[in-house]
Amino acid sequence: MAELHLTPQPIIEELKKNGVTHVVWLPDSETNFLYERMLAESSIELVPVCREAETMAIAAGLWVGGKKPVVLIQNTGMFESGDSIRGLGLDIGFPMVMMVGYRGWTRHGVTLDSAARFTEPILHAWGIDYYLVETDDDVDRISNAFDEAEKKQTPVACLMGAEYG
Amino acid sequence: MHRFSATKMLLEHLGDRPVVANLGPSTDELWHSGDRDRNFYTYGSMGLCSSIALGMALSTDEQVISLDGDGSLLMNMGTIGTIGREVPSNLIVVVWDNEQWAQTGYQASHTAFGTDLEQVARGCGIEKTATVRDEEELLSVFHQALDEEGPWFIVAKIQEEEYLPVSPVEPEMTLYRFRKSFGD
Repeated sequence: MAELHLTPQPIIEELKKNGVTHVVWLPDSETNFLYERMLAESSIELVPVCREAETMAIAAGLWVGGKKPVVLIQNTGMFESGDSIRGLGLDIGFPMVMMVGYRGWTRHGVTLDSAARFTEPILHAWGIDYYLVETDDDVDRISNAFDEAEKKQTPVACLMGAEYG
Repeated sequence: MHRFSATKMLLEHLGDRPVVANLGPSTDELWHSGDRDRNFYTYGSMGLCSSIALGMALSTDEQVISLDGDGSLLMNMGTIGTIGREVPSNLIVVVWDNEQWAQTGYQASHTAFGTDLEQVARGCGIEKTATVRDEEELLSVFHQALDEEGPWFIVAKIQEEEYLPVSPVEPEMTLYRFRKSFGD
């Protein structure tokens, strides 16, 4: 069976297909592979922040101004951002797509890292739907997330698995 | 200097520019100063006022004004670094600095013990900064900020006074009308 990979270009193409103008992000190990390609992509602006809770607020401001941002953080940062997601995502009905590096995700049923163990239960608690993106074959789920966010006017997450090449 | 009087003064001079107000008294006093479509009132997510304004500033060429507070900004000082990195020339941050978390019981904040937010901003690379202590100084610097490219970071030292009634605005309606007046 062929080895499965998640590579940057299909992800970037998916973002472009959805009209993304800005990626508001904090670097993390799971999504670092996107960085160089995003820097080279002139149609998407990167807005790096100091702490993840900033991302939703900056993204909300961009959205209010007519832009289409996406948030790119790690699951640990999503935990840190709880009040920001509540106030600037859920409460105002911001159709925000959060691409979340799924630290600790193993796909083998035994998840030792609490960052991974708590990720999906917390999304469930917030009522935020999510899509798992592990390989290039999954990247169209990013479009599903955008569609759902727009349709329901609410945040939706893409959990970015760590299997990348 | 008092926040309500100073807010009214700024509102008289800022024209049609969009304003984002920190939660609590800053939002209430902006509403009492003059409700307008381009007032973006915040209700929760303490600390994120200037981050929202930064996002707005990055989405437009218009000048965007943030009316933040010391206690809130202390919760999210990283955003000063992000502003310093992005260098949005159209962003004006005014920090109402009463050196306390007044709404929760007047507990002294860090700015009462030496944290100098203007120096933090300068350390983050924001060159256009000021600390003002009366309305005359504030108005003078504010006019300069309206006329010159920023980002601007103005710390306005204020004294607390009795709170005005909570503003009767609904978040959904505020957002709807602000977006209609501001977005592409």
